[in-house]
Amino acid sequence: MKLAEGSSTAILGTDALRIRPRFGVGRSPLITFLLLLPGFGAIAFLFLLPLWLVIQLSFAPEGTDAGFTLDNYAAFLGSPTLRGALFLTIELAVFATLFSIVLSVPLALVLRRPFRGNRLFRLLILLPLMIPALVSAVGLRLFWGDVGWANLTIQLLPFVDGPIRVVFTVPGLVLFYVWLFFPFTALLTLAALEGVDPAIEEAAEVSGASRWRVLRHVLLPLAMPGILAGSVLTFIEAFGAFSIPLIAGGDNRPLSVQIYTVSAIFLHWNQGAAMSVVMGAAQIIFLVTYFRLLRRQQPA
Amino acid sequence: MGKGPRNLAVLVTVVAAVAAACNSGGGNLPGQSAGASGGGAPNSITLVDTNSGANFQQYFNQTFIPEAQTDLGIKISYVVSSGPETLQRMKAMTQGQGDFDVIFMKDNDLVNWVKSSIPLENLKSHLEAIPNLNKTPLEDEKTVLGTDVNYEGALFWRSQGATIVNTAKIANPPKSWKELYDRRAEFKGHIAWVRPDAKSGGGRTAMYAFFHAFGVPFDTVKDLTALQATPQWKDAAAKLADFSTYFVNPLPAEPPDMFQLFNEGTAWISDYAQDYTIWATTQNLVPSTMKAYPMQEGESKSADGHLVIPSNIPDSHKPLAEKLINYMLDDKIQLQLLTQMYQYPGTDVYTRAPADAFTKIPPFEEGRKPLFTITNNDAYTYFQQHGTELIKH
Repeated sequence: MKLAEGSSTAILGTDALRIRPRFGVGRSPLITFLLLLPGFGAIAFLFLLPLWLVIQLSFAPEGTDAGFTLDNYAAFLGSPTLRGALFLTIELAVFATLFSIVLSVPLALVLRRPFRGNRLFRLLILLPLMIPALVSAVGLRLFWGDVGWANLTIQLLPFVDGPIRVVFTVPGLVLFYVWLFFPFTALLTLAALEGVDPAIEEAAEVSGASRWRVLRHVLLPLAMPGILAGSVLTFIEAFGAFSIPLIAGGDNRPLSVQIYTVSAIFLHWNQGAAMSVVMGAAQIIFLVTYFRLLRRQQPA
Repeated sequence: MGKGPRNLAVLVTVVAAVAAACNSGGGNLPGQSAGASGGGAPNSITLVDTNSGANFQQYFNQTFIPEAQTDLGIKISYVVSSGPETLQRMKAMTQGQGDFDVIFMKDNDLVNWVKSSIPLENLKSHLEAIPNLNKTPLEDEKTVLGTDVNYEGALFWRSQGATIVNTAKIANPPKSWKELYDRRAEFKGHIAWVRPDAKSGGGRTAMYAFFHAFGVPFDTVKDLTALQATPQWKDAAAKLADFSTYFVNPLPAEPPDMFQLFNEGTAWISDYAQDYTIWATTQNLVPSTMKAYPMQEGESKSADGHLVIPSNIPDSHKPLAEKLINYMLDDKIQLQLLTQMYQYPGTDVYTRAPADAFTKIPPFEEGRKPLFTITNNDAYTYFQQHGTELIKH
């Protein structure tokens, strides 16, 4: 047994011994190793290897898959259009995440209490996740178009004298992103709020805290892990969104659409790879910064 | 069970599972056809389509393939792919291992394949097995886009751009690019133009046609830098910049987006593929009042479609490939192209077409007369990659 433990430590590192009891997978490190093997294999072959190939391609001269050049990165960063696409991507993801939080917290506060139709509301929140993004994009494009139902309804108002331009605008894209991606934040916020022991809330109220103070100092801090997790998922989805900006973005084309254009239409695969690497790096930097900021906000 | 035997049992199970998984993919020998059963003649064939848009993909899936399978008594696997992807795959295929029996491709892809030395069958040597080839302009198609393709492609259809107009909005549509430009104020905010960097080539071929109409010497000045220095180019670019301020803003990302703009009443006129637009009227994707016609200065002969047989397919598959091509060139199918899909056929069936075949599209000679071929690929690529910079709305 000692020998087996030693061999698995050599392969997996000391963490292997530490995670063993947590998984509760018997006492054999060999079995633990074998059970972990498919997962590691999947990560290596389905994620790390393709990722490495993309990175490799990004440094190869255009039209080749080997060699080293920074031209692809220079072409990307030197193009005002493509740099603008990067900033637009960040702008859309940040605003979609912020508005998702703003929408999700009150919604979750209402839905955590039982009421007639509660289940239906929860199902409706899931709706955007159940519909393919492309279908949603077409639907939103039609619904919010100049002669879509939304605009026809809005024009019934006495002070509106023409269609409101929503499709093909940045605010319109943020609206569509929020519709499509807020369920991630809403569901995890709801789960976190439902996990708060009602006794804690009651204790605060009995101690004389107003509803606002209970929300501010009890509920929100306790629900913060859920809000954080959900907003991270919303951010990731919004950062990589493709169908909606392709169909309803007009001239507002974030990085995902530009990568598609450069790679699949111009057939500049190496430059597309460089753009993908920058996009991935930007996403990681944003998420790490976001986690750090939020961790700093949380009580020790 | 003790720990030792248990570990051994787990290992044996894992190894057996891996071995089984590896073995399961190796049932067929290289080159062995999936359609061949028990060593007999194959009864299935793969048709790879690198040319069709959404309308023709639907036609192939819903009309052509079921009918062809019934009429020919074979199973046809219809695969949609892209030209570059198929080319890469063909480069990797060795003799007798090819699994794309018939490929339907754009004329420029055919030229690229020939230049890349992808072995294709000389179809003239298959005339006996493909008699319907005689209905195509075989001799004319020996040279495609200025390249000798050695009879390696059979002309299936003739595609072209056209001016498309909603006659409910424009009763007296302009007949030429120059007239459209001169009357641009009448159509301000209603001229639709697909983004030149879209997947669809409609926006860039229209741009090429616009420059062609204003005399840009694409054929005589091949060098792009020299071409851009010509007064004609500068004049056309200035005109386009001005003209584009009358466009629908923003430009539609892809043709379905443009169709929706026609449906909403925002778009009134554009330049796009004749077949797709008129077919779209039958699907209620655009108003039924849409018409297509060529501009007097010319429309781009966008992408004629050719059928090829790769030489590297197993010899046993070649008779089936011949049979399929002959069927595709048969009057029945070629008439379907004309009457159901509004695409000009590859054969001379238009001379035998019923009179009502040309009610929604111009008669063949009239529609084909003002066509020009895109010969300057550098300019075309420039429009694709930098065309949006020429648009100033």
